[in-house]
Amino acid sequence: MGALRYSLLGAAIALIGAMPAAPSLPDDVVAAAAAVPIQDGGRVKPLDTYARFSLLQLSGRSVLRSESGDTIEAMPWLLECLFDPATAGTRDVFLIENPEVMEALHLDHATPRERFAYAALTPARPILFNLARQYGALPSESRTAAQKQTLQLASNLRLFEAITHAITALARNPDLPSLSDLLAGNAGGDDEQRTRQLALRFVALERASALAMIPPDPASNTPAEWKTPKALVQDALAGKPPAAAQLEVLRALEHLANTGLNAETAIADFESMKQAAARVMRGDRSFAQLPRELFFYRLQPFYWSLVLYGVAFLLVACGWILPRQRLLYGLGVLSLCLPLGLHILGIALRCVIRGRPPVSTLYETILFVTAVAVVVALVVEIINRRRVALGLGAFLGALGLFLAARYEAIDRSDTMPNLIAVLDTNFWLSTHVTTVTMGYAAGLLAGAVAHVFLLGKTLGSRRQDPVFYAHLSRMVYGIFCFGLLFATVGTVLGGIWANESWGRFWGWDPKENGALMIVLWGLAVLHARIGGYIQDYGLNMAAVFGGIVVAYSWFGVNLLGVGLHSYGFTSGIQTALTQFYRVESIVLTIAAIGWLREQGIIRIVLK
Amino acid sequence: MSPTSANAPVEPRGIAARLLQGARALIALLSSFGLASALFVWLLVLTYLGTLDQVTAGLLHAQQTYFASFLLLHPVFGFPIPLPGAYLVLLLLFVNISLGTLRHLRRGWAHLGMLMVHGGILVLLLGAFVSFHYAYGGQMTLRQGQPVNYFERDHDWELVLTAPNATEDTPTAILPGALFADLSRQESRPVELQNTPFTLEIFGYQPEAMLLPDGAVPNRDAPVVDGFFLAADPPDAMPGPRAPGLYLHVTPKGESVPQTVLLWGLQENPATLPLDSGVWQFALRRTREALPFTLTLDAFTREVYPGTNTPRAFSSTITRTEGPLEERVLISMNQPMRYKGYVFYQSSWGPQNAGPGVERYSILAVAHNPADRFPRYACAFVALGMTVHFATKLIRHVRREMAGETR
Repeated sequence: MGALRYSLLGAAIALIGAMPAAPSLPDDVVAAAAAVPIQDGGRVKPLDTYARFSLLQLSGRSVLRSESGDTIEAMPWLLECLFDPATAGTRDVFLIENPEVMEALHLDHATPRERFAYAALTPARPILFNLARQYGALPSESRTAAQKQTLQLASNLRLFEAITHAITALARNPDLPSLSDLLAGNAGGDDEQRTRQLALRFVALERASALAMIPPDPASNTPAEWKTPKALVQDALAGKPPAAAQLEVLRALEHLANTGLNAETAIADFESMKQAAARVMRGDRSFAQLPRELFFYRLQPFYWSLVLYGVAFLLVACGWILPRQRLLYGLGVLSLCLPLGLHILGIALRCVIRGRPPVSTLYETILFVTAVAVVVALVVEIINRRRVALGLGAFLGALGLFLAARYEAIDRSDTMPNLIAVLDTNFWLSTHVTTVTMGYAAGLLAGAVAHVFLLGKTLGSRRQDPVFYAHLSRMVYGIFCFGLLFATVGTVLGGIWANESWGRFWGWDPKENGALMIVLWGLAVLHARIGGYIQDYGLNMAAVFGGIVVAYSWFGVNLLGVGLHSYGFTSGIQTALTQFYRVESIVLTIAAIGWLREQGIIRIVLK
Repeated sequence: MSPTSANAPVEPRGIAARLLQGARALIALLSSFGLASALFVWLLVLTYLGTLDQVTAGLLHAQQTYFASFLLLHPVFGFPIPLPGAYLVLLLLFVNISLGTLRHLRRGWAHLGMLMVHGGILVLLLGAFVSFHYAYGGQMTLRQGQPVNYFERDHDWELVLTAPNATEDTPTAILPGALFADLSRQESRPVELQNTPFTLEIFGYQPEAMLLPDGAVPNRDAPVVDGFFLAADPPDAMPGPRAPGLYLHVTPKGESVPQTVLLWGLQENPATLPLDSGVWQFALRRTREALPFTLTLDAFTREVYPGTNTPRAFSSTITRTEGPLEERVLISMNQPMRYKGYVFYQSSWGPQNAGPGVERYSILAVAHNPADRFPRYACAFVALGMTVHFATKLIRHVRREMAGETR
C-alpha cells in the first residue's frame, strides 16, 4: 500500500516536474533534535552526526538542494524523513553512479551519475531486491562494480525505509493501546491479550529497525546496547520488561509521533529524551563528549581551513608578484597560521571526542598528513624565508583537505568509527601510526618542493639565480631526511607492534611492504647523494619519485585487496591515484628532458 | 733508471701485491655507497614485485619466491629471467653496511649518530637472519577445560598411524614430513615399519591439493577413494581450501593386493582401515611440537561493539601448568604471554558462526624466535642515531641560513 502511495506521488511529482521546497522548521526545534543521543555503528553519537552520515551514505553529499536552490541541511532532511516521509520520498536523494544499475532497474537517466527519489525507485524495488539477493550470494571479491552498487542501493533503500518508519510507526492506533502503556503494563487486559497486542505492535514496527535512541537498561547484562522501539518490544516478548528511563524516551517518541514537530512540545520531548539518556549514561566518557561532537560538526573546521588555505595561497602568490612588500609577506605567513590553527583544532577535537590519538583511520591519515606537511612547510619557511615553502604549505593544505572531503564523500561512512580489536590500542596508534604518517607527509612535501626546482629549471625560470636552486635542493634534502627518519622509525615500530599482536616482526603484508618501499627509496637516494652519484637534479627527481612511492604505500597497496591492512577499497581512489601517477610521470619525463638539455646531451644527439 | 721513472709511483709487483690490490678494490666496491644504493633500489624492486605477486599467487608463494630466495626466476614477457633474491641482497647489504661503517665513518662525536643508525640496521638484519633460520611457529587450539601441551607448526606436516588400541595423542608411528615432502606426484616411496601388520607405500603426494568429488573436473589423474580424489591442478578460480595430500598403499602382511588410503591435510577425521588386528587410523596433520608445560583454557571472551558484529576485544583466560606450578594468565589482542622462549598470541576463535550458547574455542598463535627482541633494540638504536644525526645537521643548516641572512 505504502509502495503504491509513493508510486502515485512520484508520478504526480514527475508530471509537475518539481521537487518540494526545503522544509521550514524552527531553528530551535532542529537544534534540540540534533542533540538527541543515538547509538549507531556501535557508538553513541548526536542525532546530528547520524543525519549527516545517513544523508552522505544515501546521496554522497552532506547537504541537499531543493528545486528552488535552497540548501537542505542533513538534520532538517532527517526530521522530514521521520515526520513527513511522503515529502521526503520525493526528494532526489539516492545516488547511482553506474549506468548499468540504472538500466537494470529501468530508470530513465540522462547522465551516468544521477540521484533518484524514493518514489521513483519504488516501482523498481522488487527487481532491485531480487538482484541484491543474487549478488549477495557471490563472493565479495568477485562482485563487479555494478553488482556492488546494486547491493549498496538496496542497503540504502532499506535504511531509508527504516528511518521513515522509525517514528511514524509509533503513531496512535485507535484499535490498540499505546506501546508505552503496553510495555509498562498500564493497558489493562490479561496477559494473553497484552501479548497479542504487543505482537500486533511488533508487526507495525516491522520496518522500523533504525534509530536506536532508547538508552540501555542499567540493570541489563549488556548495558551498552541501545534499543529501537522494535527491539524493546522483542525484549518484552522475551520476558524482559523495559526500565523506567527507556519508557520515558519511548513516551517522548510516541508523543512526537502523535503531535509532529510542534514547536511548543517537540523541544520538550527532545529534551526529555536527552535527560533520560543522561541519567542512564552518567559517568560514561563517550556520552560526555556528545556536546563536543555537536560543536565539531557545527564548526566544520576542515571546511573553513580549506577555504582559508585557499585565501592564504592567493596572498602568498600576490607576494611572489610583489616580492618587496614585507607587509604582504607577513600577511601571507599569518594567513597560513590561521587555517593551520583551525586544522589542528579540528584534529584535536576529534582526539578528545573519541579519546584516541590523531590517526586511526585512513580518512584521519589525510587530515594528519596534511597538517604535518603544512607545519613542516611553515618551519622550513621560517628557516629560509624563500616564500616557496609558504606557498606550497598553503597549496598542500588546501589540496589535502579537499582530498579529505572527497574521501569522505566516496567512503560515505562515519569518520569516527569504532576500531577493530587489534587497532584498539592507543600506545601503538600514537607511536607507529603517527610516526609513519609523519614520514608520508615529509615525503610528499619534499616531492612538492622538488616540483618547483624541476619545473623552474626546465622552464628556464630564474636562470641567473643559482643560489635559489641551491636553497631549494637543500630544502628538499632536509625534508627528505626528516621524512626518512620518521618513515624508518615508524616502519620498525609497526614491525614491533606486529610482533606483539601477531607473533611476527615482518610478514610481507602489502602495507608493511609499502612502508618499507618508502624507507628503501629514502636510503637509496641518501646513499647515492652522499656517494656523489646524484647531484641536485637527481635529488629532486628522486624526491618526486619518492612522492609516487609514498602515494603507493599510503593508498595504492590498500587497493590491491589483499593483506591484513586491506581496507578502504574504493574505485574513486583508484582513479585519483592513477591520475596522480600519470601526472608525476609526465613531470619526471619533462625534468629528465630538462636535465639532458642542461647537460648538453640533447643538443649532441640532435647534431 | 731515469729521473722520471724514479719519481713515478711504485707499481705493485708480484702476485701477493696484485692480490692485495684486488682485495682492496673488492673491499672498496663492497663497502661503497654505490653498492648500498643499488642494493636498496633492488630490494625496493623485489618488494614491489613480491607485493604484486601476492595478489595472484598468494602470500606464501610471494614470500618464498622473492623474499626468502637466493636467486629467483621472474617472468618478463613470458621469459623467466634469473634475478637475485632478497636473501642474497640482504646478505650483501650486511657486508656492505659492516665494511662501509668501518671504512667511511671516521671515529668521533660528529658521526656518532650515523654509527648508531648503522649498528641498529645491522642488529635488525642479524635478527632477520636468526629468525629466518631458527624461528618457528604455529597454532594452538584450546577448548575449555582440556589441557594441551603441544602446538601445531604452520607449514610442516606429518603422517600419523594409530593402532586399534592406541589414541591420536599417543599414536603408534609418526612419520615426519621429510619422508614424503620431496616426492613428486609420479613418485612413490616404500616405508619400512616395525610392529605393524602391514607394509606401507606413499605415492601421489601433492603439496597444494584440493579434495574433490569424482567428476568435479573433466581430466582426473589421481585415484578415487570413497568417491573423492586429490586434485593437484584445480582451476585457480575454483573456490575451496588447498592443503597437502597423499595416497598410501597399505598391504597387509601375507597378502599381495594393497588397499588405497587417501589422506588430505584438512580432513577433520582420520582415515580408517579395517584389518585383521582391528581398525587402524591414518592421518596427515600439521607437525606437533611438544611444549615443556601445559595450557588449559578456563574461559574465552569475545566482545563486539553494541549492535554490530565488529569485534571490540577478545581474550583467553588460561591456566599454565608446569609440574606442581600453576598460574592463571590472560592473553588478549596486543597482550601476548611470553614464557620459556615461547610467545602465545590471541589469534582467532571458532566456530566463527557460533550462535548464543555455543561454547567457543580459542586459537592462539605460537612463536619461538630467539631474535624476538632484536627489532626493539634495533629500533632504539636507529631512532636515537637518526635523531642525533639529523639534529646535528639541522642545527648546522639553521646556523648557516641565519649567518647567510645576517650577511
